[in-house]
Amino acid sequence: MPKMVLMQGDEAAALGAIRAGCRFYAGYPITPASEIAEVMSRELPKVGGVFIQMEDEIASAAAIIGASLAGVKSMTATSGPGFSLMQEAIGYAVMTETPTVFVNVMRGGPSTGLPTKPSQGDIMQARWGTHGDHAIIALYPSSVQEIYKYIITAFNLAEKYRTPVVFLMDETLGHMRENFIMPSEREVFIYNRLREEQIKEEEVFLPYETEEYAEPTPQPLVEMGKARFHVSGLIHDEAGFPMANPDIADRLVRRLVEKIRLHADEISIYDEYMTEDAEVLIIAYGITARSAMRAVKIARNDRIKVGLFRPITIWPVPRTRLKELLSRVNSVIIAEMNLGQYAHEVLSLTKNDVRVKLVNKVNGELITPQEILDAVTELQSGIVGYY
Amino acid sequence: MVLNMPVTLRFAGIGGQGNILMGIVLAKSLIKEGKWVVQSQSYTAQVRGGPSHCDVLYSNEWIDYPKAESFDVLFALHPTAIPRHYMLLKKNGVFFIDTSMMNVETFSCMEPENIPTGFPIEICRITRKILGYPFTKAAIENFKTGVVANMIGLGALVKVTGVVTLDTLKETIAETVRKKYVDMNLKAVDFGYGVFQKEYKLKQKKKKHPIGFE
Repeated sequence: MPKMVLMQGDEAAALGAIRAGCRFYAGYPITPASEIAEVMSRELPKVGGVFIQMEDEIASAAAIIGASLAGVKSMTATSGPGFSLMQEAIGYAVMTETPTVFVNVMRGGPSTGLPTKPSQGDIMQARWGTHGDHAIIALYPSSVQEIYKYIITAFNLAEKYRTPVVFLMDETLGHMRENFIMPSEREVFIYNRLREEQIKEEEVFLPYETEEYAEPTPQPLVEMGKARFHVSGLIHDEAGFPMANPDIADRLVRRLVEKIRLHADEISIYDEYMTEDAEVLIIAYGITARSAMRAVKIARNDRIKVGLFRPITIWPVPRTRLKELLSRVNSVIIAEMNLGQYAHEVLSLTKNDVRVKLVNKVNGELITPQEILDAVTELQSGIVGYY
Repeated sequence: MVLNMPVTLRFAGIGGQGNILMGIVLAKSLIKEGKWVVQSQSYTAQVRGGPSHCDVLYSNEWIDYPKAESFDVLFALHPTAIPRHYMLLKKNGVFFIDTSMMNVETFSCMEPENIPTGFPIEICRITRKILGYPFTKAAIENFKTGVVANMIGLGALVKVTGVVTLDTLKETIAETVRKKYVDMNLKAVDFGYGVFQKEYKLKQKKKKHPIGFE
């Protein structure tokens, strides 16, 4: 039996990233993500990686994109205010299709807000923070064990789909310490880059070329070396050279969105708890999902048929499964520590005759199981009308 | 389905007293004994002197909701923590108080002269299991430094509540604390273990008085 240890959320994120192959970290300390930088600065040099504290978050984000293009997996970690600064660079990573991982340990906002209190206010920023049409992958685990597991997934998805991946956490999750079991070699899958020798020397490497199938899959990025190519944030052709051709522009932007949208089912990860016969469905993610889980247990004790759906990939939304569940239940509760950012997305999937109740909180405290239970009671007694 | 509520402990004080370290050491010891633990903390931007507290929850199964609304054990390392946290103590919970900065040595609800000035007397209605001891003073007198006050406190906590065994606690401290200070910390724990003679069991089942229906 593997040994259990006490592990902090931020620590797990850093160690998981190193396990996934991250060898470059650039960041700027910010509560509550400072511990990630702290662990990285200590652990990365031991495995031959590079840790650098940049002058700000803008430079950090730019540095990890550069590092990734130069051939190593890279990551940065920040919180709300820093994440705002990184948005421009995220757009650049989307356009240049550079695999990177941006950890955002969410704290109360807007602006400097509540530095030592949790929030889930950056859900929409993770999706639409940067400008222009794009698709993004965002993951949000809800326990220390999961942080380790899914940050590896985040790196894998970034490499596979060649896109920046936003890894969301919150202050409670980041600072909390919990039981942790180090996964064995067999339990961890790591997606590696193409190595130099895997490409033929005489062949031209076109980094932005995709085969014209129904589902475009980007080709993996090559480690630095023989395969030299051009990188530009402007609309570019398959070789990476800027082109203002309308056809090329159309094809590129569509491809950037489609490569994730068409693979949404493949990418999406979710968890369910007692949804088989549920009449009331609670949708919650991250740390709130744990309150919801307790609420489900208490409600089931009182023979109320409540189930929990927990999206782990916040973006893309696990649409197919969610739609299926929403068609079966008669009421939905969406619990989140913001004023209904994800509810907006969920409600676009519901039929009109589903009763909806939102549980929102923005005071820097967790949503308690009691608050979710109150919503269940309200729905059961039929006091609430249609949304 | 049986709903298991975790046992909850809170260490409250001011920043710099080591109440978060107390929680971490206790959480590590609990894991060694095969428990599921959640340890969380709260502190302000002030590094020293600001209000801070640390919660430890443990259970025999995975803990879903990581926060607690009331506590089985409350440990106030500083008098300012008492009015902030006493109302969160469960009925008949155990309350440890560091009386170093108060004008009394021992503590008793029954003797009005032993109740310090400004002490919220409502606590006596919540619990009678109040254990006062000048931890910081004892640390300064016996170890010439106030830093080990938290370890004396842990020793006392383990003796009274028995959440972990003394051996597990010592083993954890030897692993967690820097080598130079291990000896002093272990001595402090031993010292704390001898402070109180009382032993209280946590998690006593509530007596139910069913009326009809059962």
